Amino acid sequence: MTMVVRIGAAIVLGLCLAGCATRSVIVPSAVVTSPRTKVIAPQRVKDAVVVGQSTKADVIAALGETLVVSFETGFEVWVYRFGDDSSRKRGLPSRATRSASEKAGPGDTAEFVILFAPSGVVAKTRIRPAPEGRHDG
Amino acid sequence: MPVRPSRLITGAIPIAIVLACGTVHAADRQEKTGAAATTLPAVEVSALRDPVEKSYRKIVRGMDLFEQRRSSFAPNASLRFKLLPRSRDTNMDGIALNIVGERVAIPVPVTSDNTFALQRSERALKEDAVVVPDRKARSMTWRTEIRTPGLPPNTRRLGDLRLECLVGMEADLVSEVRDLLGRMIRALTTTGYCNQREPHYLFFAERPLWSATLVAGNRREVLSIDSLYAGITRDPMTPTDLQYCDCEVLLDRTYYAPLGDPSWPNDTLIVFEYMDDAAVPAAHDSRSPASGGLSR
Repeated sequence: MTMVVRIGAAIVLGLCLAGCATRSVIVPSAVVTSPRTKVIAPQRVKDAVVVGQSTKADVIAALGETLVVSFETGFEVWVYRFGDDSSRKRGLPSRATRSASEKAGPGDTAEFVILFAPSGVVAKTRIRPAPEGRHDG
Repeated sequence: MPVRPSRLITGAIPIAIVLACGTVHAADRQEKTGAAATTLPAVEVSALRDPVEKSYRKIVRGMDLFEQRRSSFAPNASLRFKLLPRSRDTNMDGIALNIVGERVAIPVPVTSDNTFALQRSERALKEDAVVVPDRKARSMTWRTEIRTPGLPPNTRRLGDLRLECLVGMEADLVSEVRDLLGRMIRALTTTGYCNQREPHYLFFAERPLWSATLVAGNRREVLSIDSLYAGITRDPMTPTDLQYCDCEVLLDRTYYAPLGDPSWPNDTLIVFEYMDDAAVPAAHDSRSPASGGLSR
């Protein structure tokens, strides 16, 4: 009898949970796999990345790891913000250089964005200057 | 909010789940009671448990607002509504849509691009009808589709988008949090929401986006990466967050527009470049005229 009660209770509990769990498990269409945005000096971008040639390893070697948005299609977007990375060269914690960018509002900072094709090679890049009238990272 | 879950909403999820459970059971009872009393002449409406329905009265209020405001924002545009998938499993082909009241049932033609226009019906208004597609709740989301004809390909006009937001909010189209808390928050913020500098009202491009550039005369400005992909570069979303965003399977197509920034006129074009476009050579600086202002 005790076993029957337990089974019954388990079924009731299961039905309740199923009733509330109205959503199936979602596989995200995009995820941020590396959340920290790297702040780099603008001059470091020049010749650092070649469309159609540079690989992810090449970009990490040239600019370092940064925020990555991975899409289920296989494309990846890598985001760098422009700022003064002199403190990094002096050996200060990178967070010190990041803070100015992080305190800025959305879209306030200049940015360098890279699109990797599913093949893992750079497909496109763009530099977006900070909008006029707003402060630069 | 129309589109992205805030931390407040995320924190309230446990409460919302409990409320939603109660709502679902109550809705089921109403559905069964209503079905017994309804007689539908002429048009056959297939029953679907928990359909993704919208209030006809609210949508008509949105249509009224469109007529009132179109001369200011988009004088040459027309108004349609669009259905978009919220789930990978949603079959977007052959959607059947009806306006359904207690005694009225009006079929609504849906075109191959999944857009439609609604006719006005006093009877449907009186019966507080709903607009019901033959798809389940949370399988699709709805948007207004306001387009000025004759624009270049891969562009949208900012005035059209401003009016889309206003009408969409008025019509209560955005499918996100259909619980009491979500509705309360939305009610508190509907007024003036679209006039914020960059409201988090999600727009959807035709294909996965690489960049979006505002162009007004000689002025060009690439939208920040934080204005694409539902802002996940600024505020990353967990899979749980995504369940409460109607962008969950279209995240790579989403963008925010500076709807409330008066420095961009209504005739401003947003020029899109897509991920799968061929890479085009261009200078680094997006302000450089030689670069076309976009990317390389």
